[in-house]
Amino acid sequence: MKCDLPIELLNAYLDGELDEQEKTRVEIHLKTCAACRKELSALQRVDTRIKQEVFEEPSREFVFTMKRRVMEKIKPAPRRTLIRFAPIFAPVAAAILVLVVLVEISPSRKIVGVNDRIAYQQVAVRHEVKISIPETSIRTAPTALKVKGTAKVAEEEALDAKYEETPAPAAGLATTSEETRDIDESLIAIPARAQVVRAIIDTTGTIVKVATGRNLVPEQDTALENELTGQQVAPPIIEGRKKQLYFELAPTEEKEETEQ
Amino acid sequence: MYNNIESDEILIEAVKKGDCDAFGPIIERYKMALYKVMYRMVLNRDDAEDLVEEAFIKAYRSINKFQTDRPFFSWLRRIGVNNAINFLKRERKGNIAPLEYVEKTLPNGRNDPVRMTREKMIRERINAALTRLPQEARIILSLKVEEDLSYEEIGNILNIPKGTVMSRLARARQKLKRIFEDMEVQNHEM
Repeated sequence: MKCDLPIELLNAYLDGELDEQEKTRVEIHLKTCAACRKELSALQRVDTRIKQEVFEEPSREFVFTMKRRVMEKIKPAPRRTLIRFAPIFAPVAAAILVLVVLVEISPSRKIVGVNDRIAYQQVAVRHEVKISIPETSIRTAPTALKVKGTAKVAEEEALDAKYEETPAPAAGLATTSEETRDIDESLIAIPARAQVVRAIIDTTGTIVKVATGRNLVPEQDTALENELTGQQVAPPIIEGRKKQLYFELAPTEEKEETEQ
Repeated sequence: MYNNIESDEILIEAVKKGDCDAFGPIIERYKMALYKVMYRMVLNRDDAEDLVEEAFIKAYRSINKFQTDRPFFSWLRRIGVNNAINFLKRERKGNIAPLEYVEKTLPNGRNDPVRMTREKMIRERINAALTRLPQEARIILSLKVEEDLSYEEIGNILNIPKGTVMSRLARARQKLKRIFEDMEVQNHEM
């Protein structure tokens, strides 16, 4: 091309990228310049040939499975969610399992409850204390029986040690040394059928469990428990420390019969 | 479930709200068009297919950046072209003649064996010429001539000013024209 028209301008004219003023300028030039007309034809042939470029059809795999592959990659996989957290869950689960096993096999951590016969039988009584229940704390029932109170204090350490070492006595708590004294009969409401009443009092002196029954190891009495739970008695202090208190109430007649 | 009835706008809004199933019809709708763009850039079927897949995944992951009022394919093509340019830079491809693929391409609806053979020879020559073209020239020519994009759109895709598009495109055409001329001379000599 032997003229002063920039080749970029001719390309832009071919591509329709010129504004009206530049377009008019190129068109005027093309009317008078054979070389530029020839060049423009050559560029048009280049474009035509590019459009004839060999185009290879995509594979069948691409046509039929590409979408599925993309969807699999972009979708969150629910099955992998837990597996993804496995490195965290596995050690935690193992630790919890070990902890549960240790707690279950450790006798020193055994929780002593009112219905736990073995614990009742194996409590070592070391000290005896006098209990006085505040008169205002417990409502009197018309069918109340005369009862005697027996308080036993077991040191927690002794409880743990005796648990494995001491064989269970056949008669349970009846074989342990007890000091019995009269308790104001108007204080405790006891069903007539009851022969043994037992309260468990925590180290703050609060009654937490009450049980009644005809055996030395009584069954839980929910009605009586509801009435008495939360009542305060003075907790025993031994060697400067508050101790666990098992507070046993027994009908006078039954106790006397047993002693005979 | 979605099908091809929903508009791009509806499907993309659903994808933005977390429903990735709505992306399925989008893939079906544009996979072939994107494949053609990718193929013209890398001149290799397997690479083009991989690039299409990558482009869709990248588009999905950045779908929140897409403005729904603009044409989705332009945005997708831009992602694909940029990805292909990076691929070509990484792989240093572009001088591998894909003539082996010419054999697989069959003109549709043309049963004249003489005509088919002649067209095949022409296409082989065109393909050979394009593979002799530098990557940069081939990409810009493809975007202009085959995709019919404006200089501004090409500039946006390649991150170059409009004036640079104009000059690069002019140089690319000149190079390709010379390659064709050389090949015609060689053909006459044979």
